[in-house]
Amino acid sequence: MNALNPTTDGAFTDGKLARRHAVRVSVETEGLRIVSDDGAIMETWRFEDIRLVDEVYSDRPIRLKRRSGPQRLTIANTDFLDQLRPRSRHLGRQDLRGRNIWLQGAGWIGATFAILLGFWFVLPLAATPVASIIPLSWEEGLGEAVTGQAITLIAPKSDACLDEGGQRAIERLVNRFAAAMPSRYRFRVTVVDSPMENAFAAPGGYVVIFRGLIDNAPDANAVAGVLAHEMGHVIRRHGMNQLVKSLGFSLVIGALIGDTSSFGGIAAGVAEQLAASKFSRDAEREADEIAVDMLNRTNISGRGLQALFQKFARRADDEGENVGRYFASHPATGARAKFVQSRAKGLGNAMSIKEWQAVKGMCK
Amino acid sequence: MTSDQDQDGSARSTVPVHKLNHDGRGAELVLIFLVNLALTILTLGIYRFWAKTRIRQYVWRHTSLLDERLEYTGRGLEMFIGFLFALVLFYGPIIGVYVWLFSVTPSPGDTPAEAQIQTLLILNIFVLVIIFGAALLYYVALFAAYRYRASRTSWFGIRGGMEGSAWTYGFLGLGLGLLNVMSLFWTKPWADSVVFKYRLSRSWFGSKKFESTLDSRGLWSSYALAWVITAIASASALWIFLVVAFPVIQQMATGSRPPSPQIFFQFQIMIIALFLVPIIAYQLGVCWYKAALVRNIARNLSYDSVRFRTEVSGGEVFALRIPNFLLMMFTLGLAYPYVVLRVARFIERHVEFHGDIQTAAIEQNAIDAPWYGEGLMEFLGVGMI
Repeated sequence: MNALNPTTDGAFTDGKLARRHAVRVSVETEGLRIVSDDGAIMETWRFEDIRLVDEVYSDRPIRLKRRSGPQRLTIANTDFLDQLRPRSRHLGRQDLRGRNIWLQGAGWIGATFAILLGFWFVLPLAATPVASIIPLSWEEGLGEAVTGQAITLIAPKSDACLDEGGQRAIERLVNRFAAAMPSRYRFRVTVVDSPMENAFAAPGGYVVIFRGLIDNAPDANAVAGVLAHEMGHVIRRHGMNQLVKSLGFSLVIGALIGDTSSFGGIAAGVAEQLAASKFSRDAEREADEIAVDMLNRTNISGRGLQALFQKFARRADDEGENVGRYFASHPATGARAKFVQSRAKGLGNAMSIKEWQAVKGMCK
Repeated sequence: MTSDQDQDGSARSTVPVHKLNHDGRGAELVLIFLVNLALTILTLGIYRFWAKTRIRQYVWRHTSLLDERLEYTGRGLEMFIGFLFALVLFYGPIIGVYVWLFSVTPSPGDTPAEAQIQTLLILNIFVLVIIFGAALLYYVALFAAYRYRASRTSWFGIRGGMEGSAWTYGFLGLGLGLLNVMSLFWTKPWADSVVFKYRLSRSWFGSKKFESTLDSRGLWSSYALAWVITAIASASALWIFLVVAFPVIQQMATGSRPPSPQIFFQFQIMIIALFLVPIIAYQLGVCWYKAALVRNIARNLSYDSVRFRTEVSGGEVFALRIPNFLLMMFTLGLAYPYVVLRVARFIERHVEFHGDIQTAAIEQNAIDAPWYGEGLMEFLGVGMI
């Protein structure tokens, strides 16, 4: 053995027996030589075959292996790694000696926040384009399924109100709106026999109106206004956007808290989300704008919708900030009533008195 | 070797006692955790398997016995492949039934009540099947996870391993689980000892096998404590729920206007509490049983001439588990590295190896190691480290 070559003590296991051999390790031209107590050469590892088993911290021994072989060589003298590193490019990445852990930690905390911020801003921006590439047939299929599920969830005991005269009246109104503002959707409106003052839009043209809304509406124009509002949600794909957004956030949150079952949770939450019509303020304003536009184009008075908004605003004052019904997620109903008042120009009626009577009697 | 002083080996007091040594450090593990966190979020969770692997590598390599460090040889890719298997195994049938259910859901506008009832009936049967399937898969996953971990743990360059079938273990666990339900959980100590014995007595390290003579003796009194505490908590929670919530349900069923959001919120809180209170009570009360079980497992376990001891008290288990849970909850999981170290140090303090460990006589393990990882376990969200 050349005395000039760097040497150190080590412990060697051969991967066949659970037995540790005290060895002498030396850097030779052909590789790392492992020599037993009695001077016999046990193995010689070529430098490019040497790998670190663990990360290296300055005050703990280093463990080496030969590619994926079962042999292990443990060296207590960490500085010996400096003899090997220039001879192999595989030993640098796990060498953590002399690294500033605190600085690195701060860097990774910063990186985590940057990634989260990125998601926070990018996801809502990405939702609209992603939603827009979803084909109409998918949207309609989803809307149909969601509507069916939501009705069973929200009003399990109620049936659809199928009275022919009422249905015809609503259909005629829907066709008037659809003709006034052409879109790619075929609208399907269902009235369900439930006392709740509620209505919601699912993707693909599905709109559900609860009997309670019709019973408590001041006139047919108010119901027409709500219908136009829901059609506005459909046209602007608010449901689809919301769905894509919540899917994205669920994925991020799932990744954050390590919950893979959130994939299943999303599916369950979808129907509820849409039924609860938790759209953002911007989405509500957009739908209101479309509703007023539709009412103007069909020359239907906005007074009814305005009165409905005023009623909910008053109720909100009476019962505190949030009302647990249709307009609960629509804050500042008073401001929305003013918006309708200032923009609605229509003077006519949505339905004849006979038609309105038929709609009011749909569920009887 | 520290066991060299055991020369005559005649007197009992001279049996050498070895303990694990753990020298992991918070700062180092926190750094690994932070890198993992960033990459896991960036990859929408896919990196989780590599993340878990890195944490294990750190914990294993900083744990040593007889001055020889353990090594975790598992890889993130293996765990990821296992996860993909589990995804198909678990979600395949669920997605299939949902697609079918949606396709038979009547369209709005023509929803006859019979069709709805039929759909609900099918859904309920399906949920029942899922519950049984999930229970079976839980035990299959548990076995697969232990087998994977055993096969990827090496010491002195020698692997561990497990023989036996994960599905046999799964049906054993499911059957005993049903028995527990039918006996109002009074058979649990016996069922637990059967399940642990099955697994432990099929475990190998190198060329030698572990033996377990575990039974349920000495477990019943501490288990009764957990049972009674849970029963009292459940009954109280149910009683309060019925008194407070019944009027709300009545109002919801008959009133034309839905209850106000405040009452509805209170109602939701009550429902959550109804399930949470018994779980919390059980988790608090079960610490003494867990301690007794761990003591029994260790006393009845042997490997070659080595015996085991884990003399841990219920109070110590309590002081490990409850703070760990609270730490994780109140930091939203950010305390994870600290919790991992607490567990590692707990094991270091309490696990004892009695006897001369004849390492030179242990040859390499010959049991086939699984080539994919414990995806199912990861999938079901069980197992912390």
